[in-house]
Amino acid sequence: MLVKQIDGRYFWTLVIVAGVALLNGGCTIARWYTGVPLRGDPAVLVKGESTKSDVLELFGPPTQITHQTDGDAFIYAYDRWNYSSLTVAEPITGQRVFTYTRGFNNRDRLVVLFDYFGIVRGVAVEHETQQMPPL
Amino acid sequence: MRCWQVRPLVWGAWLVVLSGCVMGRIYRDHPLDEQKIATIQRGVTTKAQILEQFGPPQEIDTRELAAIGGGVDRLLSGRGSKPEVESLVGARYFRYTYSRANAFGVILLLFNYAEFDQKNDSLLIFFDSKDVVQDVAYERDTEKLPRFGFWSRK
Repeated sequence: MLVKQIDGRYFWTLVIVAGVALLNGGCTIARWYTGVPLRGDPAVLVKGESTKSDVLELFGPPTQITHQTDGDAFIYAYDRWNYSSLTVAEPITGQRVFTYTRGFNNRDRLVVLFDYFGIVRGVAVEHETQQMPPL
Repeated sequence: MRCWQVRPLVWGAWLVVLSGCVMGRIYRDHPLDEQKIATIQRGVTTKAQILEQFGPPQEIDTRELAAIGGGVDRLLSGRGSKPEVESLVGARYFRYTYSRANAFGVILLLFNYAEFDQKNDSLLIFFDSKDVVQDVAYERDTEKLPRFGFWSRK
């Protein structure tokens, strides 16, 4: 038996080295956050009544302001990116033999449309970050 | 315990300890003075005063459109009254920002975790057609940055 022929003091060393060699590679988890979650509840905005000042007071400065032919639009966004990867590499040359990666880039977005007079004419909201899987 | 029995434990401990930590901080521009922001008054403070107090903004929107008569809806609803001659229909604003980002990472032998979080303080000032402050919005979000990644995330 080969194992019996090997001196005991080297046996465990060999086992650990072989284990590390086989498991060369690893897994990585990364999280990316840009901005803050949406403030306030868009449901309180009333089309035809709420004003630009109301929106600024409730949600703060928008991430982006765009101009349309019939008024401005405020865009609020909260961006998240979840990334995970598993890599198995060949230990001597470092050649990757298997890589699995997965990334989710989801955003919470609120768009408020105004008319010429700064009155809210449209509201759209989407909470995508809540649907992100943990890994 | 003999030497050869201890050695695997030493190896195991060494593998666990063989790790690192990464921290990074990014700062862009300078913090906004909240005492100055508190002095901004709607309908009173002028664009020149804003420039004097806060300096050059990071973003300027110079779009300027005039609506003669104020639109058909307003004409129909206000029959008999004199129509508004001109109104500003596009946003004209200054935006001042202070950006910060915190990066945090744990590097182990077989597992890595990295986190990056970017937030801004933003001051947005709208002006009317006479260059007087029409609206102000300010949010301080950089204070919500977690210092040490997920450990300090609320």
